[in-house]
Amino acid sequence: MKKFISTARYGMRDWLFQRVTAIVMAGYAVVFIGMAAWFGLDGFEGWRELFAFEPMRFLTFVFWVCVLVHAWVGMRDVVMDYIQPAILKLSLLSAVVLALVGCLGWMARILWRL
Amino acid sequence: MSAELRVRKRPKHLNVFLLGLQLPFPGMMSIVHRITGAGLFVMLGFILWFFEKSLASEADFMEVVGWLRHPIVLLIGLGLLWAFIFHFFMGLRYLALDADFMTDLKSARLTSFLVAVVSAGASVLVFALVIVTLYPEIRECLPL
Repeated sequence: MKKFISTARYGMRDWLFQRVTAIVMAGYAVVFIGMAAWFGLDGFEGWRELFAFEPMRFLTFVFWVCVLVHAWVGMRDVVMDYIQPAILKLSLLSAVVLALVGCLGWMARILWRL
Repeated sequence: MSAELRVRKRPKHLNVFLLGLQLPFPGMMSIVHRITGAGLFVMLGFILWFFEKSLASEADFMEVVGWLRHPIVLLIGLGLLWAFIFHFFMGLRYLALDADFMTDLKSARLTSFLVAVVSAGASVLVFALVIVTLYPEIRECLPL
């Protein structure tokens, strides 16, 4: 009987998440460069206005969610590939998830305090 | 038979050194892609910290700029930028491979070499931009 340690599995779903988030992030990178040129990154004002601009704030948050999902798939692959001891694997995967969830909350706070 | 196998120590493949330096070039690039990915993950907290502070106030923004001008922080920052740029271009290559584009051996070696060159070039450009932005005093010295 297989021991259930985590829900992490190799498979199509996560492969798809990784690819889709990659494409969205690439799109945001292009948008960011364009917006940064528009707002003019010459100091605090321009920098702040860039992210306080409502569409940009929304897109930045979507981008960040993609970063975290993408990072999750990547780190999960790393842990599954290289870590065999079950307790260590579970601990690391949990730590990664918690760190990512924390980063999500942190970014939400940063963006909506503007 | 199995008892004997269990007792005898089987030669273990040293994965930790990733076949030493015997990885073919695309393989080496692939592991760098993985390492840059993990490295970026580890630095997420620091990135958020700097990002938050840079948006807090004018004074905080200037403080962050001050930090970034410090050689060690600058080095780490440029390293992160390079890691992102490399990971990005290598990622594009993987997306192309997913679409069955240039998957034969010769093409795969070519694209991995292209990724190395393009990411290096893009990194140099970005580094120059960052340095000129962080150190405006350099702009006076430049003939531009």
